Amino acid sequence: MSQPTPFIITPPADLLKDHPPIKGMAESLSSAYASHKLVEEKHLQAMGQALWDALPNGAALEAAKQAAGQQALPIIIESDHAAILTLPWETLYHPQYGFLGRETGFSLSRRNPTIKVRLPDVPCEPLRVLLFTSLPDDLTELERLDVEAEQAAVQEALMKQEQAGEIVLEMPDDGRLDTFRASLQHFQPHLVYLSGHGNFTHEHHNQQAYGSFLFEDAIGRKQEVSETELTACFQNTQVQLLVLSACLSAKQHPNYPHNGLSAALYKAGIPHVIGMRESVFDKAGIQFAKALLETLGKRTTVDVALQQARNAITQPLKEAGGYKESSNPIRTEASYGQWCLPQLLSHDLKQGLVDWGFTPQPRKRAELKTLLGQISVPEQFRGRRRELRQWQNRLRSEQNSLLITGIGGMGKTALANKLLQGLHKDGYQTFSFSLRPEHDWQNVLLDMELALAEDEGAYKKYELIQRKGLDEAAQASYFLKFLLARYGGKLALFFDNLESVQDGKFPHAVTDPTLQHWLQAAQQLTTQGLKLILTSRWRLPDWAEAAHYPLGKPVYGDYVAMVRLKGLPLNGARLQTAYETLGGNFRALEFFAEATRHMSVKEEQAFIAALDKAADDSQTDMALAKVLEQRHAGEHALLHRLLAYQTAVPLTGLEVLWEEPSPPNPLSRQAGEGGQDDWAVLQRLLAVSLVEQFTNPYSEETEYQLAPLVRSWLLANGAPDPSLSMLQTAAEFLLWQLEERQNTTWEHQLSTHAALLAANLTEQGQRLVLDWIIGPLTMAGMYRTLLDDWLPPLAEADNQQIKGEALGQIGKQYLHIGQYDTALDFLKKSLAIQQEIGDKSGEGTTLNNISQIYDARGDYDTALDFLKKSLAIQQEIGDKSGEGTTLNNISQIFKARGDYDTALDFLKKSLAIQQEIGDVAGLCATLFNMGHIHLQNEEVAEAVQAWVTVYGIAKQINLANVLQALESLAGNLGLPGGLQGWEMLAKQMAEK
Amino acid sequence: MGQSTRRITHCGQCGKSFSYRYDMGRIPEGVTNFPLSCPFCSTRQVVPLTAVRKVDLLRDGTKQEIVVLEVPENPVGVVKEGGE
Ligand SMILES: [Zn+2]
Repeated sequence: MSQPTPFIITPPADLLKDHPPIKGMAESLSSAYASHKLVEEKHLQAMGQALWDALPNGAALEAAKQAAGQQALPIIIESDHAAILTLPWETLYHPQYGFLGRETGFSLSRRNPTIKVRLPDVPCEPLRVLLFTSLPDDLTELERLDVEAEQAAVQEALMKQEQAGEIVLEMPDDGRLDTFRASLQHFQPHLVYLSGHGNFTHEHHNQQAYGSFLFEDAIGRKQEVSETELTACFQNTQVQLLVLSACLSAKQHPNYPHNGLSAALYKAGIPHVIGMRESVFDKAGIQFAKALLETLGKRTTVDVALQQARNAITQPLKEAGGYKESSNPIRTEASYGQWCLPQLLSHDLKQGLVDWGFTPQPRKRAELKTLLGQISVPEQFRGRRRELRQWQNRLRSEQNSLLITGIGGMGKTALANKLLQGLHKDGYQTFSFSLRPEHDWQNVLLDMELALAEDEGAYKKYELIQRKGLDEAAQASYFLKFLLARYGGKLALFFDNLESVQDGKFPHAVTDPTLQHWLQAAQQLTTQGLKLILTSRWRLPDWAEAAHYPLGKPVYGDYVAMVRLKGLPLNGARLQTAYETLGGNFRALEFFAEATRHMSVKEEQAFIAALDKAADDSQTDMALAKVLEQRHAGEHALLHRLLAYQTAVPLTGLEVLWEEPSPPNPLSRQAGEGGQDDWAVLQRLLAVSLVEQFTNPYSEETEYQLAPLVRSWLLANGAPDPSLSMLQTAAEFLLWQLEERQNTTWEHQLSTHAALLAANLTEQGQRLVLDWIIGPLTMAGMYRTLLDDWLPPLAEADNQQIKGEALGQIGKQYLHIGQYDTALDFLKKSLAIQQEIGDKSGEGTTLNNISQIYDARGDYDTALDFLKKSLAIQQEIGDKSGEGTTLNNISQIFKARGDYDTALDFLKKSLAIQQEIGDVAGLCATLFNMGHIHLQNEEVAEAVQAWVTVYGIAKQINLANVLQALESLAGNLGLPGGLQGWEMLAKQMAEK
Repeated sequence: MGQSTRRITHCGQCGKSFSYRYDMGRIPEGVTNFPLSCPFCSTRQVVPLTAVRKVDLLRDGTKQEIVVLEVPENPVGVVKEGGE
C-alpha cells in the first residue's frame, strides 16, 4: 500500500513579521505550561487558528485530503528557521477538519529540509525496543516520575507481539549513561524510548541554548547529560525512532538553529525523533507511551501512531482515574493541553522501523536458571529497582550486613543474588550457603577451606588454631578472619533460606549450633568489612533494625515484567486482580496463572475468593496444590522420579529411573497415560514452573531439578518417598557421570558422595572418597580436614581393601604434618591388612610411604630397604606409576648420601617410566630433583634447563605445589622475580 | 588434549540411547576405540572411532596428509564377546 502524497506546508520566513500577534500568543501559551496554568482547548484552538490563518496555501489542503482518500493525509511542516520551528505547530487548527495534529484523518509532523543525512537501512528482523528509564534518587518527591507504571504500561502494550516473537523488549534496570550507551551498542535497538526528566537551558551570556537529560550516576544521583553527549551515544547504532518522553525535549530557542534535544538528535541522523515541546504530566506520559507503542506494534507508520497517541491523551486525568483531591469535572476532563506537546521530527515518513517480512519465532517459555552454589536463581531478574539500588549503595559503603525477610515467593533470593552479583563485580569473593534441608551447607565450608588452603601461610596458622582445641565458635571466627585477610578484606557470605534452621516460634532462634557459631563469627567480622547477606521468613533474635529489610509488595510493573518473562497466561484485569489478591507474591502468581489456565470465570472467582481469605504465606501452597492437582499421572510419575535426586541431572538421569516401578500416588487423580515421552512431560512440568532447568557450565548439558518449593510441598503432603532402589539407581547414575568423566566437578563429587550414602551404597561412597576426594584435598594441603572428617569412617570400613587403603592414607597425612610415630603406626596397620588380603599394589605404596618416615629421620639404610621391597612388588605386578615414584625416592637416598651419580641414574630410570606412561606430575617431581643433582655437579646449564622444563609443564596444567616449589627455589637461587624469573628464562631459552 | 564431542550414543547391549561427552584426551596413542559404559545397563563397551584423512599445512608451506580420529555421527557401542 503506497502512502498518500504528504501535504507540505512551508511557512514563509517572514511569517512572524507579517503576523505580529503570533509571537506573543505562542509565548504566553508556553509560559502557561511553564507556570502550570490550566491550558484549555479554547487556548489551543485560538493558537492553532492563528497559525492556520497565517499560512498562504491553506486552501490546497482540501484537494490533498480528497486525493488521500481513506488514508490519513500526512501534513509536514517544513522549515529551517529556528524561530518558525519554535512555534506550536501541533495545535494547527483547520476551520473544517479541526485539530490537524489530532484528527485521525491526518498526521502531523515536521521536517527540516536543509539537513540531509544518510538514513540507516531498514532490516528484516523482529523489532528491538529499548525502554530506558532514569529516575535519580535525589529528585524531590514532586519530581519523582512513576517510571514503574510507565514500564508496566509499555510491557503490557507489547506483550502479545513479544510473545509472538515479533518484538524484543529490553529494559535495563538502572538508569546510568554507561548502561544506556552499552544497551544501544549491544542490543542495537530500532526503537528507543527514553523516559525521565529533560531540561532546557538558555545561556544568554554564552549565546547558546541546549537541551539535556537527567541520567543516574553510579550511586543513583542525578547526572545532567547535554544534547551533545547524548547524540554521541547514537554513533554506530541503527536506531530508527527515538522517543524522548521527557519534559522540554523538543524545546528550541528561536535564536539558534538545531538547538534542543530533539533537533540535535534529528540532525545526527536518527530518522524519526519524537520529543515533548513543554512539560508533560507523568500520567499523560504513561498513557502516551502505551498508545504509541501499541499502535507501532501493529506496524503502522510513526506519524500515524503518533497521531493516535496524541488522541489518547486528550483527557489524561480522566483516563487515569482523575485527581484524587478534586471532583471538579472541568479539571478532570480538561486536556491540560497535553495532547499537542508530542512533536515528531522526521527525515522521511516512508522509512519504517523494520521490514516486517520476517518469520517470527515465538518465544520459548521456560526460563533458564543459574545455580549459585546450591541455590537456584532466575537468570534474569527484573524489578525491585529502587530497593536494589538503595541496598547496593549501602552495601558499597558502611553497611556490612543485611537480612532480607518475607514470606516465600516474594523474591528474597533473587534480590539477595543481585546484591551479591554487585559485590562480586566490586571484587568480592562470595560464598553461598543454601540451608534448605536437601542441601548440606557444610559442603560450602569445605569449599571455603579449599580456598583458604590456597594461601599456605594462612592455612598453617589456621591448623595451628585447630590444634589448640579452641571451641567451635572461636575456630570459626579465626577461620573467617584468615579467609577475609586472604581476599584482602573483600569477602561476602550469603545464607539463603535461614528459616529452615530457625525455630518456628518467636524469637526464631537458629537451632543448629554449628551454624549458629558460624553466623555469629560472620556477624562479628562484619565490623572488619565482611559482607553478610541472609534471607529468611523471620527476623533473627536481636538482629539490628538497620540491617533488616522486610521485603514488601513489589510494584505492579515488576509483576508485569515477570508475567512477560515467563509468558504466563494472564493480563489486564485478571493480572491486576491476581496482583492485589496475592500481595505481589511472584511464586504464588506463577502457580496461580497455571492453576487458573483452564478454569471457568466462575471457578476462577471462587478460587480468588478462597485465596483472598487465606493467610499470605499459604497462598503459594494453595495455588501450587491446584497446579499439582491438575497434573496427570505421567507428570506425577516424573515428579516422583525427580524426588530421587537432590541435584540437577540431565534427561538420562531421569530415564534410568524409568525401570523403577512407580508406587500408587495419592496425589495423582487422573488415569495414567503411560509410556510418555519423558522429554515432553518434562517440558510441561517446566512450563508450569514445577521443575527448573539449568545449563551446566561444565558439561554444557541442560539439567533438570525439582523446584525447591515443590519438593517441600510434595514431601509434606503425602507424596511417597522415593524407594531405596530408586535412590540407588539415582546415586549410581551420578557415579556413572563421574566415572565416565561426564561431570567431574567438585560439586558433583560431593553430591554423588551424599547420594551414595543416602542410598546405603556405603562401599561405593567410601571408594569415591578414596578415588576422588582425597587427591584434591591433599594437593590443597588440607591434611587436618582429611584426618578429622573424611578418613576416620573409612578406617572402620567392612571392606578390608578400603580399610587398608584408608589406614595407609591416615598414615600419609600424619607424615605430611610431621607426626612420624603416629604415621608409622597407621602405615604398619595398613601394611598388615594389605599383606593379609594380598593387595600387592597397596602394599607397594605403603612400603614406599614407610620409607619416607625413615628418610625423614635420617635412617637412610632402613629407608632404602623399604624402597627396594616396594620396587620389587611394583615391578612384579607391573605398577609403572608406583615404580616411577619409588625410583625417584631411591634417588633421593643416594643424593642425601652424596652419591650424585647413582642418584642421577635412578632419576633417569624414573623419568623414562613417567614419560612412557605420561605421568606428568611425577615427571615434574623427577625433573625437579634432576635439576638439583646437576647443580650439585656444577652443571648449571643442565640444572636450569631441567627447571625451566618443569616450569613450562607446571604452568600449562597449573600444578600448584610444583609452582610453589619453583617460586621458593627462585628465591634460594637468587633468581629475581620468583615465577616471573622462570618465565623470563623460559622465554630466553625459547628464543635461542 | 581437552577436545570433547557430544553425541547421542546407543548401547550395544540394551539398545537405549543417551547423551555422552567424548573426551578424546582420554584415548591413548594408537587406540582407535573409545571405552565407555552404559548408564542404563552398566555394560562396558567400546565405540569404534572413525579415521578421517586430513591435509595439514606445514610451516615450510608443504602439505602432509594426516589421519585424525573422530567420533562417528550416531555411535553404537560394541560389546566384546564373552567380556565381563
Ligand atoms: Zn545398556
